[in-house]
Amino acid sequence: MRNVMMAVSAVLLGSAAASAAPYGTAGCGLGSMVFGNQKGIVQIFAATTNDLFGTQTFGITTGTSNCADTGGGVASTKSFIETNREALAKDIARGQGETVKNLATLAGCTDASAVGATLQKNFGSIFPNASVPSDQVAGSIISTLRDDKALACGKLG
Amino acid sequence: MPASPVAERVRRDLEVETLVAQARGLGLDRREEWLRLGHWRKRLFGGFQSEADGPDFFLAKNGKSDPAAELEATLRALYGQVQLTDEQRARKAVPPQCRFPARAAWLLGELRPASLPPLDCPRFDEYFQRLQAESVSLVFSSYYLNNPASIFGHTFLRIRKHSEDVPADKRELLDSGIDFSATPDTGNPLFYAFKGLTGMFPGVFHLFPYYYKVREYNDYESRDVWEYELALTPKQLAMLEAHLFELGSTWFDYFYIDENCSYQILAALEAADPDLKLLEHVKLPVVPADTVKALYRNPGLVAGVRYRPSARTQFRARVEGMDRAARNAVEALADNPDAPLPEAGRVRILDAAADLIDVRYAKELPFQPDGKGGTIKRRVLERRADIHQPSPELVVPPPLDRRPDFTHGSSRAFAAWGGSDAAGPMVSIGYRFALHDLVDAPAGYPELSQIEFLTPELRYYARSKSLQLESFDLVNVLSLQPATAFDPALSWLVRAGLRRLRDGACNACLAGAAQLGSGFTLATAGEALALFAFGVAEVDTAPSLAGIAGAPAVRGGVGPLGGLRLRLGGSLVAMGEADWLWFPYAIEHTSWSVSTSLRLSPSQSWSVGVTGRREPAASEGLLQLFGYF
Repeated sequence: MRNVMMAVSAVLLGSAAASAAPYGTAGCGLGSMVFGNQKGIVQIFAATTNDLFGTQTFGITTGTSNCADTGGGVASTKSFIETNREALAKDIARGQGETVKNLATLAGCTDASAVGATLQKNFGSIFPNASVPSDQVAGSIISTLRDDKALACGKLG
Repeated sequence: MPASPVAERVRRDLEVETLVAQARGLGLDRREEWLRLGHWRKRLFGGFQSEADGPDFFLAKNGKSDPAAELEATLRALYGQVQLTDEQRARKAVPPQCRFPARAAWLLGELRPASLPPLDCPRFDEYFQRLQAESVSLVFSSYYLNNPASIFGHTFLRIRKHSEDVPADKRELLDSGIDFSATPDTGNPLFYAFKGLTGMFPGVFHLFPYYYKVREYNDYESRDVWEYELALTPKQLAMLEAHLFELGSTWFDYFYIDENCSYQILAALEAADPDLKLLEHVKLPVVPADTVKALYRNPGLVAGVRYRPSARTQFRARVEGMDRAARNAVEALADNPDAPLPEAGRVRILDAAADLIDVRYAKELPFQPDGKGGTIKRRVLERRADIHQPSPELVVPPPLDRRPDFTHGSSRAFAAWGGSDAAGPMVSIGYRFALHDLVDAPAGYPELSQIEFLTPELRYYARSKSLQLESFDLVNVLSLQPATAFDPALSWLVRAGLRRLRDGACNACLAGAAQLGSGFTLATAGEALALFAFGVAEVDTAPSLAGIAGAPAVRGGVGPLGGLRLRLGGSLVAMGEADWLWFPYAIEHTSWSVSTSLRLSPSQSWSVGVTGRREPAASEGLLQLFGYF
């Protein structure tokens, strides 16, 4: 009991582990995770079994997959952007919003409103057209945040 | 004092024997804590059976049915006496010593051995560190439009991450979500339904960033989300986390009706502490809203309730109070992103248009960001971003009359008194397995969705002293979707079951009847008044039915169906419906019916009403009393 619980308290007092996952995370977006292509009446039952998105890849004991990292830093920021792309595009256009705030946290920036303002000004270069792939969107956002030293996004390296 | 490895081994083995004997003496295998950790349930004729179905959950050969053997095996594993098989090693199963941290915590806490076994469990440590748990919430995702099955809802857990320096609102999406869901292996609707009902899909617990669920439920499915924050002590929270890790090593056969998502979430929560009384407050069918109500049967367990509006709810909040010109501009933008904008209120209009596009193209956008919806959206957002101002925060007050814990009970029984002109006075009793009709108490349910399963009604007629089955619906679904300027939605209905035909085609015979219909609904702003008009097709069959000339026992017909529903206040609902059917080639060509109902629900547990019905061969009226449980 004590050994296990000691690990518990050490963890509770400790800080988040630094992310060691590689930058090139592939396919964390919702579109790439869908299970099959359930249509019509199956949707009615899927409403109760609730496996519309392939979260069966997120096992509890299998360790952190690339798409499950929320520790902060470049890789987790990238995963976040890919999955939250549609909501994030909206919030960036609005210069504020929940996804912008959480993005700022992952990137270690000090001021979420300043992040919102900067990304809003750069909307055109982040989303130049509708077909821009999500990893390119992530790349643009991350370099925009890095380049603006005033934002002090410490976890982007 | 340092000892040789052999002596150490011997000492360990002796220790285990002592602990096993001690555990037996204390009767630990019969304790509530142990039974909950193993998900063992008492069997009807004695003994136990665990609900867990994956073999890795049991270290003893007969662990699934023998809690005592499993307890002994767990102790032995903690002291290194149980090893991974080659097959388990190949698929990277968690080593037996490390697979059950909650069991270990409880057992060692009860037995208090002089020294602890060495435990090096990196996967558990990593998991625990990833969670950084501060508190846990039970999350309920509500219904979504035009899918009455979704009014059953869905529950999962949210584990809030601890953070010293980042305020909560800036890291909510980064919390962890844990859910239990089935892994279907078929897309065929019939197999899907059959397998889901009979436990032929395995259900597994998953762990993922909370934002996946927010995007899936709030955005993709446009469901409102309610979060019930639980007041667990640090010890209860740690036990819950440890137990969830244990559940990661197994699966449970998924049964829609009882061992479903919401059931397993409660079962997992119960393992955190024997004082939590959750499963004893749910019954068949296990409906997610009932599992939320079970939380409230534990005083002080729910610390608070939070609301997260769906994309559709957010859109509605944005257009609330907009004048006609602004609404038109929003609608125009959703089709043509370069549509002209009025001078004033551009930010508000562009924000609303972006939400409308998201709602309209919700199913397309994650897969095709460059599809029609994605292209329109990007241009609208570009125009918005050109205005270098942050949008004001959208505040949507939680709609308290939509909370799942305020719903009436999922099952219903009724007694009624009345009479018909054809058969005289009668008494009627009936039951409904699940869930809700359009005149039941509206709180917590979508205003205009009805879904019922298994509704037998029995009648006793005084004049003929006969007891007979009046009807038995297998399924009765009515989905009314008000057509609006923004969304010309289709309404539909499905009914199938047994009922008595009173239109002259037979003498009040009991017939199998199936009806399918589709049409449109118009409703006032608050949906208090709704009018609907459908085209329906019906097939009836009964041995004594004077049906189609060539096949007397069957008839098929089509016709219009229309109705009105009016809700007055929060607890009084009136509804009227009329239909007319034309049965070509049938001996009795037409049929019609008109029915009305009025029901008052003074509380969530009972209601009283009157109902009347006229058909070609009979008219009847009844005074009804309903109980919900």
